[in-house]
This record gives sequence, C-alpha cells and structure tokens, in this order.
Amino acid sequence: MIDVLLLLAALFFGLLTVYSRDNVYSAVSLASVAGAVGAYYAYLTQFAAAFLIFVIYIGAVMLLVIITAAMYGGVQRWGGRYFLVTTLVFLAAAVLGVLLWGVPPAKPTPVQLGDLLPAVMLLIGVAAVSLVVGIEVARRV
Amino acid sequence: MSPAVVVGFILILLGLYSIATTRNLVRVLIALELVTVGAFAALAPLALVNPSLFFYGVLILVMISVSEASILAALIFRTYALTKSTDVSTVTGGREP
Repeated sequence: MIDVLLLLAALFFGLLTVYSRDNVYSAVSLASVAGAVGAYYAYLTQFAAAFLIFVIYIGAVMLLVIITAAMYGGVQRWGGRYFLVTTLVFLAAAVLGVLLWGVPPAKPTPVQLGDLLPAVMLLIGVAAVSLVVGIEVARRV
Repeated sequence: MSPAVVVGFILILLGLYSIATTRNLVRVLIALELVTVGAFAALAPLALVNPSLFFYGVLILVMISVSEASILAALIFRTYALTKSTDVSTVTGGREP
C-alpha cells in the first residue's frame, strides 16, 4: 500500500506542477514529484536508481530548474494556499505511511514480456502526441 | 497494467498538455522535466524483471534530462538577454514571412 501512496503523492504534485500559476511553486512541486518517484524506487529496493534520482536528478537538474524559475519570473505572490495544501498532504501521507508500515507488502506480480507490448504501443502513442504538440508549438512561434 | 505505468503516462500527458498550453519558456522547461519524471515512474515495473537493465534505463534517462535541461536553460538565458522576456512569442527572428 505504501507504493500506491507514493504514486498518488507523485500524481498530486504532478497536477500541482501543471496548475500552479507561479513558476517557483511549480518547480518545487516538480522536485516533490521526483522525490516521490525516488522514494518509490527505494521502496522497490532499487537503491542505486534511487540514489541517481535523489543526488543527480534532484540535486542537479531540479536545482537548475528551480534557480531558472526563480531568476526568470520569481515568486509572484505569497503562496499561502499552496503551503497549506502541501503541508496537509505531506502530514496525511506521513501518518498513512506510519500506519501502513506494519502491513506486509503485497507480493509483486512478475511482469511478463508479453505485458510490455501495451506499454510499447502507449509509448508510440505518446511519441505521436509529442510530434503533434511539437509541430503546433513551433507553428505558434 | 502496473499502477506505476498508469501514473507515469498520466504525468507524461500532463507535461505534454502543459507544453501545448504555455508560451513561457520556463514553463516549457518544467513541463519537459515532468515528462521525464513520468518516464521514470513508467520504467519502475522493469525493476522486477531485469534490475540491471532498469538501472541502465534510469541512468540514460538522467543523462538525457541533464542534457535537455542545460540546453533549454541556455536557450532561456539567451532569449532573455536578447528580448528581455521568456515568452516564445517575442522571438520574431527566423519566422516565415
């Protein structure tokens, strides 16, 4: 259940990244998404990959993104609601995490190679959507 | 399908939506990184099948994201130096007549 909790936290902060009107809060939410995914990797006992996410990705890339957002745009308004919502979600996730700590983890279902086919099809779909978005963005300039 | 794959694809689509609806280069950088994080999440089920392949996938994704972030950050710095704005619609050079 902790894995679902971490993924839901990643999804929440992902929505917050897109819908925050302020660049800095959006960048901080993005770093929180990366942190949740890194914690999910650690939960899967993939500590080397989690190390890469936390040290290289958050420590370098997210720092660059947050500093760029702060330099060009900065904090436009005091995010009282942002801090309230993120603090409440963090506290609720921490309490749920402590409560679920004793629950034995569900046995992971092994992924068969046949299961990768829908993922490949979805990836091709995402590539097609990316192409359309890229062309539309380029036409707008 | 694994919940991690579903969340990963939702994050990727959110990032693409954000790229499509914004004109601000900083928001484009943030949305691109959101797509990368979505790809990180979608890659997670591979850890159960082949951990070493998963690690190399994560490593390659991190390298790609470092490259794209630094290139886009340089583009933002240059665009701001030239136009005093991070809005892509202020870049007029190179347009078709």
